Parts: sequence; C-alpha cells; structure tokens
Amino acid sequence: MQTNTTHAIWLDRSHSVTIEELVAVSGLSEFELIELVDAGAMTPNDVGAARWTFTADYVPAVRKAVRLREELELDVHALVLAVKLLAQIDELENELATLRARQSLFKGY
Amino acid sequence: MKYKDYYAILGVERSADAEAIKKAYRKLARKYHPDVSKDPQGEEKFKNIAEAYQTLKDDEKRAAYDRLGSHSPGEDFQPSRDWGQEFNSQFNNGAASFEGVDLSDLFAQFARGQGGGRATRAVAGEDYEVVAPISLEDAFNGSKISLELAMPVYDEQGRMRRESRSFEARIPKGATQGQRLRLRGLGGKGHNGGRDGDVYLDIRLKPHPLYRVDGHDLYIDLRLARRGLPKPGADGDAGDLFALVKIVMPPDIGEREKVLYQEMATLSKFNPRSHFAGEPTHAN
Repeated sequence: MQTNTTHAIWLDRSHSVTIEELVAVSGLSEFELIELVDAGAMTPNDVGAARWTFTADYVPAVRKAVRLREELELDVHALVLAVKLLAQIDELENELATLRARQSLFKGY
Repeated sequence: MKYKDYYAILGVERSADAEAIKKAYRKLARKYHPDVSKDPQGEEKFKNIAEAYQTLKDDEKRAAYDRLGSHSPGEDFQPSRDWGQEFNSQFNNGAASFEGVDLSDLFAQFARGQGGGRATRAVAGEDYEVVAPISLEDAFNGSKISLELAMPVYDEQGRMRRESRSFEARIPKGATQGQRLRLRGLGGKGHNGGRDGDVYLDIRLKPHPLYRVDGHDLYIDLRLARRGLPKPGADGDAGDLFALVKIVMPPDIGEREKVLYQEMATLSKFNPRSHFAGEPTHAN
C-alpha cells in the first residue's frame, strides 16, 4: 500500500494557481481561459499583473467547465453562461447550508 | 468482455443517422450530466451515455462496433477472429488477445492506435474525482482515508487493462465540507511522456449528532429550561431560554484552578448535554 502525505494541495480561496497551472490541469487553452475572464465568468487575483494568477478554487470550477464543454458540446458563449449559473448555484447552496446550520433544532419544542 | 448495447443506451435504432445519434445524446446528456442533474443515478447513467456516444459518433468506431454483432446487454463475448484481424491495429495495439479488455477501454484506445501500429504521442494519465466522506472529528484532527481506484495499466504491447490500486491519502486538519484537495500524480500513469493524472478529493462531512457545520464555524443549541418568562397561573413555571452563548474563558488559569477544574470534572456526574441524541452519559 502506498501512503501519500505530501501531494495534498488545497484548492480554495486562500491558495493561488498560475494560469499555466490552470491550463495544465483543466485542458482549456490559455486563450479560452482569457475568454472566460473577458466574459466575467472568472476573475484573476490581479487583472493588471503581467502573468495572471487565480484563487485555487477555480481549479475544480474550470475542470467542471471543461467537462460541460466536452460532454454537453457547448460553444464558448453557452460555456460562459453555464459557468456563471453553476457559480450562482454554488453560492445559493452555500447560503442554504449556512442558514440550515444556524437554524435552531429547538424549533419543534 | 461484457457487451453493451450502445444504441439502446442512447434510445436510437441501429440504423439511426449521425444527426439522430447526436440529438439523442444531447437530450440525455442535459438530463443526466452529473454537474447539472440531481438524479442520484445520474452519474452512472451519464457514464454509459457518454461511452455510447463516443463510439457511435465516430464513423470508424461505429463500423467496428457494428461488426461486433448484436448481443444481449451484459452478455460475455469476445470479438471474432475476423474482427480481430480487421481492427486489431486500431483497437488493441496489434495484440492478439482481447482477454481482460473492457469494451469501453477497447474503444477508448482507438485514438491511441489510430493509423496503425503503436501510438507515440504523449497521453496524460487519467484524473479521478473522488468523494471523501469524513467525520467532524477527522476534520478537526486531520485523518487518513483509504482509496481504491481502478487504474489503467499498459502491458509491453501497449494494451490497456484496469487494475485495482489502493493507497492512503492524508486529509489535512481543517478540510471541511466542500473542500477540494488535489493529490498530484496519484491518478493514472501518463503514457509516452504524458503527465501522470491527479486525484481530486471532494470532502463531505458526515452529519454530527451535536454540531451543525457552516464552513469552519460550528453551531450547537443551548436550551436553558424554565429560564424564560413566567407562565400565568402556573406556580413557578416558566418558558425556556434558547441562548446564543458567547463563552468567555479566564485569560489566565492558575495551577490551583486547573486542579479544581479537573477534580470537578472527575467528581461530577452531571451532563448538561444529556438531552442531545448520541451524547455520552458522562459530561467528561
């Protein structure tokens, strides 16, 4: 059995990835990533930087976008719309989880 | 290998044209794609739908699939000798035997073998998406989980087979509901210089009997019985107080205080959380 303790990489907003890393793990080209940024579906950490970096939570988001593009045969416009809508769903599900956590279990008393 | 009826999976006739196949796929993909479907069986259904479409949308693959003949879904079969001679170079890297080869893997190899002979272009290893359920205690302390994945393995002839591979992955402390982790290089092995695949973990917290979780915040209900407003006519009875409590600890605890706290914890059998389901009977 192989034990791995060193390769766990956090994919969240407190960590960053370069655009090259996003290209490598997603399969999207740099041009396609720039299109997603231009369309407002993604935001770099510093849009004015010479080489863009992104928060690491974009890794699963972009991988999902690639799956959608390939498996639903979306063009780039439909892809942008899908990514935005999925981001909204994620946000709403997070808000719902927060409200559920804060909801008292005593309401039935 | 097990036969799959790709036409039946897509719900089309064997004589369906490319447009009808594409239309059927798109309709089913919109319905069952795991990123948009709430169907609990959606992922498995979509996997079969995608596999069927990947073969039937390609004229050469479809012709080869059709030449396998018609079998019952799930029936064990082997491609005929004629089929092997005609398509072996594209589909099986020239290997003579199809023993242990899965139907989907056989057709997935088409691109690698296309043009005859052994493919030489770099092929990245497969990535894997794995849901990892952990307890709240595991999230608090960190933990290890065991994973078992069916990984593609290539023999000397370049034929792909899947072998079960087990390994342990450490879930770092603080990984909570919805956290994604990447285990670099632990996916399928790359081929012809392609990068090794990764494993992506999607952390899911199991429900806890006491705490509700929001990100890294924990919630628990504290009910103070009969500490609410007095009830009219009821002697001494009162409503309850449901408290949002901010716990303030003394900034410094002396040695004597520590001893007294520990002594009280040992002596007292009182459990203020006994009304919570699943709580141990002693307050320690």
